[in-house]
Amino acid sequence: MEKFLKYCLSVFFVLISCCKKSTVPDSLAERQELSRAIYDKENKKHGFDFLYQGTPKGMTLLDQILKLDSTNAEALRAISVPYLKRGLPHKWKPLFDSAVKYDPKTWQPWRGYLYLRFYRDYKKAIADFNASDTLTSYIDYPQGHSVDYWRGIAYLGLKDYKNSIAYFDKHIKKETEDTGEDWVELEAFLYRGIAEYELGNHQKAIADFKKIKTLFSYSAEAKYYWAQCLIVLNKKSEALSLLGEAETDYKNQLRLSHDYVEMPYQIYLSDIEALKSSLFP
Amino acid sequence: MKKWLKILLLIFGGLVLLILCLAGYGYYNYWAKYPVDKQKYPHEIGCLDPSNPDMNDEFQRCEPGKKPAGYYHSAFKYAYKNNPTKFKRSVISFFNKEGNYIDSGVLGIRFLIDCNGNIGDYEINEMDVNYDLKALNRNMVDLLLKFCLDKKHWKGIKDRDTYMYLIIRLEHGKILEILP
Repeated sequence: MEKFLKYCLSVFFVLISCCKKSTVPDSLAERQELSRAIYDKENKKHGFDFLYQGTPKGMTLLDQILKLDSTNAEALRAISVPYLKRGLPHKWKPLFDSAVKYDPKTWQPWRGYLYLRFYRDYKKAIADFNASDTLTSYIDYPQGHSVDYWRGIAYLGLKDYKNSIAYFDKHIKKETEDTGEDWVELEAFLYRGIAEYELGNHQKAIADFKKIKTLFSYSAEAKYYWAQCLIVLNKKSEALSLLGEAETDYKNQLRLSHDYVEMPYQIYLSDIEALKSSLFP
Repeated sequence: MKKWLKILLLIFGGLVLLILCLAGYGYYNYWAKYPVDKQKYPHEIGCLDPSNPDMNDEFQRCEPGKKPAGYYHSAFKYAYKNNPTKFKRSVISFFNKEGNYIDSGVLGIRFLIDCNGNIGDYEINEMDVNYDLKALNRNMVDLLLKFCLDKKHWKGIKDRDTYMYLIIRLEHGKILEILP
């Protein structure tokens, strides 16, 4: 019995030593390092960008990380995102602005992308993309696309079609030289084609839509806007045939779509049907 | 008690204790190390207060206390009776006909649709063009609110509540964009 008590006492001391109280370091550098370390560790465990995002637990944890270092830009970004996704711009913006303040090279082009995607705030988006040109010596790729690609979309939203085409030209040229034409995004050709269509350059627009058909085979939007060009050029039978293909692509989910927002120039089945029925009333 | 039995019991007890300690340590490290600030974050971000006003008197949550469909980023893909584009066109057409305002800014509307398609628990956030809170013209907000939250635009999901938000960007009294 005496031995057993000794064992118990040992276990007790082991437990006490394991549960040593964590202390907050005095120096700023140490606190910053600890803040980053906790962020990385907890992000690996829970993933701040997935279903943990916006939960009371996730938000409290990010608060604690920011309490150690209020300049931790990665944590500021992470804590802002649930407000962005859930439609609370007045709460998202000050937090994301702080992330930009403390790490502009990383987060300013990203803020441009978010302005563009979530608010279609083209002017603010372009300002951020332009700022990224001087912040870094390389072309930034927020959300996997170059700032030139995003500027092409932003100018298209502003109905400044010439600038839109100029940025898509730049983007497509660079991507083609770097990796080959078949690596360029479908949307780059699609939106450049739409800009040409809006300018009334139907042949140039068709060239882009044809390119999509050659490189990717399927795209409901490319065929829909191609059909629009053909209607203007009085080629109704060809347009009807393309609209049939557009309908098939649409039904096979081969179309523009985003989980969080409607995409610019996104079409619906009713648009294709309406255009079809307008051809031969 | 026989000696071998005592040893066996000690080993077994020790192992159980060790497993409990490891499980407790794991739980603490994974989940309980950072306790939740329930005062600051009583609910998930975006949760709408049940005491908010309802647009339809018949509004009643079908799953009270549960997260609504689309709580993570809105249910824009399936909440409209038609589609987002048609809804936007109808709002712009109505507003251009009925509205005569000069305001610039952003109007945020967040709401729930119950399983019967009734609208309730809505919240409005009025902002300037830089997304800072700032009051917009009261009549203009009421006009947009009444039109946008008309149940003719929305459909409920069977047995579930649906979360939806709208962001309307205005410039000099004209609607620039409606999101998402």
